[in-house]
Amino acid sequence: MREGELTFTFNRRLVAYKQGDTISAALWRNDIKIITRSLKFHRPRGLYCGNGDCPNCLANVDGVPNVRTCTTLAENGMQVTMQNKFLSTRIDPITVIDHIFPRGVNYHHRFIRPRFMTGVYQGIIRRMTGIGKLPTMIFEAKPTKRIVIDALIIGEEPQSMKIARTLADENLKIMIVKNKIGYTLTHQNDEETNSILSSADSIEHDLSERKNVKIIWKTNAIGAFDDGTIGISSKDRLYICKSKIISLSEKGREQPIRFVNWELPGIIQRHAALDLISQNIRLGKRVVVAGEPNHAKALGELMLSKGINVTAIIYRSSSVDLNNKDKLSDISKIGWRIKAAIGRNELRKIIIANDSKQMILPCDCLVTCGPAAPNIDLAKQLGCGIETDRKSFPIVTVNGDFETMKGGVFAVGSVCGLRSRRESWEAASTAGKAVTERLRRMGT
Amino acid sequence: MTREEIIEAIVLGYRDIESLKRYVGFGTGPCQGKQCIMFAREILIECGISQDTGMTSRPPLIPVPLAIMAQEESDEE
Repeated sequence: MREGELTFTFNRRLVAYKQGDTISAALWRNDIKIITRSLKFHRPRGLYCGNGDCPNCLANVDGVPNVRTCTTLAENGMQVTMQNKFLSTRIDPITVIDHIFPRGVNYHHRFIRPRFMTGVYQGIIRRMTGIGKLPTMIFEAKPTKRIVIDALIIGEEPQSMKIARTLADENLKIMIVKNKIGYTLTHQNDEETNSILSSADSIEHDLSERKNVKIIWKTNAIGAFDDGTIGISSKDRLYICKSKIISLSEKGREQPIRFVNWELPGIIQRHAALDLISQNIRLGKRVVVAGEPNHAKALGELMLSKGINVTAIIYRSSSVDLNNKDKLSDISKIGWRIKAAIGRNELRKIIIANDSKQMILPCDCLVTCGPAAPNIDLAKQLGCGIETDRKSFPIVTVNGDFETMKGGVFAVGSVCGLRSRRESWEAASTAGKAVTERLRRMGT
Repeated sequence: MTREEIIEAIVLGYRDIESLKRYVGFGTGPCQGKQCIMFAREILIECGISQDTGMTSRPPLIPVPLAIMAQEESDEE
């Protein structure tokens, strides 16, 4: 290691990172793909969603178990250790249970007889499975804050900023719950997306300087309580917020694409890939992109422009808009799907198939672009009505003003089934007006 | 969790997300259903069983240290 280089340790091995790397990105930078093992079968697991949604990159960081390394920034001198591993990182003897029970283990019927052995079995199973060890140190938390406001704006989608501005202009007291600061560019590099994101960005900047607006960054709404208050958590503090109006614009959750071995280290979702690209980390020697046509195409274009060696783009649908001059057309595989990923500990190749044939593609990184499922969890807790959209995803039921069946709660964006950024951005004007009108009627 | 385990449970008669979850245990791990529930729904739909809107949602939506829930309230801004 050179002097002045930023480092942390992973299983006592020194790892160099760059400013802004998350822990798992830094590990990827150093070609370390296995971060943990799955809790039941001890299969190798590594960076996957890049969003904090999945269980694949949990590690013990400075004594705290189950830290999501894909959303935690690396810090100098951190001690990161792998959880769930038994003996060695690369060869874990417990994986034999995966071969002994290829169809899974049903604990309701197995390991319960003879009855006097149940306790013994349970002891062994509990030792072999599960996640993490309890921390030994005391967690320093700050006192809870109770906040009473006119409107609470929750969600990372850009339209939440537009709604917030409408309300801020009316001089209402509002609070914005936001995890990330600003809006970073996505893989979709079209004019419309860029203009929406940059306007949201400048609104956020403008609002952060207003007296009646409070933006609490790096926080998440963690739930709705029975008295109608919303719990919001930062790293070390709980906020309890009572608000007349709640506006929800949470981002959809990218869903995995399933095939045999879909969680093998080396296979990552779109968000994780964007994270690595933005930190200038090489994804791999041979990269394959697969998934929803519009996302896969945009991501493929972005990668090619960054000089990444994309060897194939696999589209899930046959309706893909490509012209012959397109540099993507050589590597595009339309109508193919992934059957399986192969590799002992890390991805080595994938098997793809179409209606008539099957082929093997060697690759060391596969980026999947799954469909996004609306994030309706908070809406459900608030008691909003739920329906099913045409892709059979559950969404929140709203009226023409984007008010949900629970009065005072508005849902604008993918939560209520709007499928494009533009639709959501335009809907924000209607919703903003409706919210102000409603607050006026409430006598604010 | 494996696909076979879910199918086995469906064959045994667990035919909605809530009871499947209680039998198989998906949705109770570190992702808290963020990634596994949709998979279970897909299998249910494949098996021709009615569409389900998912499991009951309860706080906390993301993992939170117990210590921050146990703090006293303060008035200072």
